[in-house]
Parts: sequence; C-alpha cells; structure tokens
Amino acid sequence: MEHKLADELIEAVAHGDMGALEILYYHMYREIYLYIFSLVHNRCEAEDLAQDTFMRVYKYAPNFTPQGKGKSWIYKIANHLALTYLKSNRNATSISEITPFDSGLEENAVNSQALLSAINKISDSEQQIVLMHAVSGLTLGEIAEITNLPLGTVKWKHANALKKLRKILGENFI
Amino acid sequence: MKKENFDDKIGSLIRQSADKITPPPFYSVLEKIARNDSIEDYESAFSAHSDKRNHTALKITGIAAALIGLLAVGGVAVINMNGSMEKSTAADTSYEFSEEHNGVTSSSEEDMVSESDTLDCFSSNTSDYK
Repeated sequence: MEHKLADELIEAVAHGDMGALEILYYHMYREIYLYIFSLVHNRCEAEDLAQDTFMRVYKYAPNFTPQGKGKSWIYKIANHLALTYLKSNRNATSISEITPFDSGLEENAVNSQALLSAINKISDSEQQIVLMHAVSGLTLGEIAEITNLPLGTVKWKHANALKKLRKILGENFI
Repeated sequence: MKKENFDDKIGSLIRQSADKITPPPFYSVLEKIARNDSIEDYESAFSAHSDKRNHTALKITGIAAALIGLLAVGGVAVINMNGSMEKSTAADTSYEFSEEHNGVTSSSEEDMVSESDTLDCFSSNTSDYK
C-alpha cells in the first residue's frame, strides 16, 4: 500500500469510515503482524497486538496529520504497542517461537524454510529492518524514523543483515 | 548469484511467506473497538461520577460551613439576647424596687399627712369640744 493511500484511508477513518479501516486492516495486517512478531517472538501475542494496532488507528485517526507518512504512522503505533508489551512482560515466561507462520509453505518451501531459519540467526533489530524493508517496502529512512535509530545505523544494520543471510544461505540458495 | 538478485530473492520469499498469513476476521477488531469504547465510557462516567461526588462534597462542605456560620451568628445572638435579657431583668427589678420604694414612701407620707391632718382635725375638733 502506498503512503498516500494510507493517508487517505486514515483520514476517512478519522471521519468514522469503518470501511476504510477494514481496507487498511486487510492490506496491512500481515506486515504489521510480522513486524510485531519480530519483536515479541510469540504468534498469539503478535496477532493480538496487530489487532490492537488497528484499534488504535481508529482511536487516534482524528489526531493524524496527513504528510504522506500514513504507513510509518501505523508502524509507530505497532512499535509502541510491542515495546510496551515487552516492557510489561519482561519477567514473564512466554514461549519464544521461531517462525511467525502456522503451517508449512507449499511454494518454494525449501527456500522459504531455509530463509526463515537464516532470518532467525540474525539479531532482532536486523530482522525488523529486513522485514520492514522487504514486506512493507518502507525506505531505510522511514524505518529509521519508526525505530528511532539514526539512518546510518539502519543502513549499516540492513547491509550487515543481508551479508549475514548470504553467508548463512550460501551460493546454492536460489 | 548477484548481490541485487539475492536481495530481491530474499525480499520476494519473505513477501511470499507473509502472503500465507491469514488475518483474523475484521470483526475481531470491531469487537476490540467496542470493548475499548465501553471501557472508556465507563471510565468517563466514573470520572464524571467522582466529579459529581466532589461537587456534592463541596456542596456539603459549603452547607456545613454555612450552618456553622449560622450557628456562630445564632450563638452570638443568643448571648446578646441573654445579655440584654439579664440587663433588662436587672433594670426591671431596680425599676420595680424603686417603684415599690417610692410607692411605699409616697403612701406612707400620704398616710402620715392624712394622719396628721386627721389628728389636726381631731385636735381642732377636740379643741372645739374644749
């Protein structure tokens, strides 16, 4: 989804258009879920927090100022919710799951499993940057804004993550 | 594999994997919104109630203060009244006393005069008889 469309939909939500919220939800749920999962490592919690993200989109849409950054705004909400969850459950023992997916993948299953396994071997912040960049199409500048990291750090982490993945997956990775 | 191709391939595979995720039905979000709204309604109602309670408490305090004020004013009035009553009682007593005293005096003087008169008359009468 383009930022501009996201802006328009959020504005419509601000005027009480639940249809606009539904479109946002079905277009962005997957990437938000993946992003949250990369932080909390728990499918159930990631699902719940992803839904909470859209609940908050509805709640705070009247405060949103359209500047072509609608998607980043939603990611910031997701980021805040996930970090709050991690803070309040710091001492809680929860199952740390490896993949954010329920079932095996039919198409390119071998490659996908190998990739997911490789992604799990890189750091959390590197995972988040790779996922946001690959799935959501967010620029590294937007990711820097969402994660409150300097742009140079994000660029370095992204390059480093890809380097690690290439090394783990090897040359035979198709 | 070239670096760009590799990065693209990774991106493509992650997107393919992400596409396999099935979002929960949208109504679950609507339920959350409804639940959250009801909680907020309750919270706002509760805060309004506590505001009302504070207002009532203020009103009660105000009434109590007014009552205390009234009691204080009333007390002073009673004290003043008592004071004036005592004063008036003393004045009345003195008045009564002086009146009684005067009356007694006057009556005794009148009586004396009349007695002397009577005696004079009697004496004159007696001298006449002499």
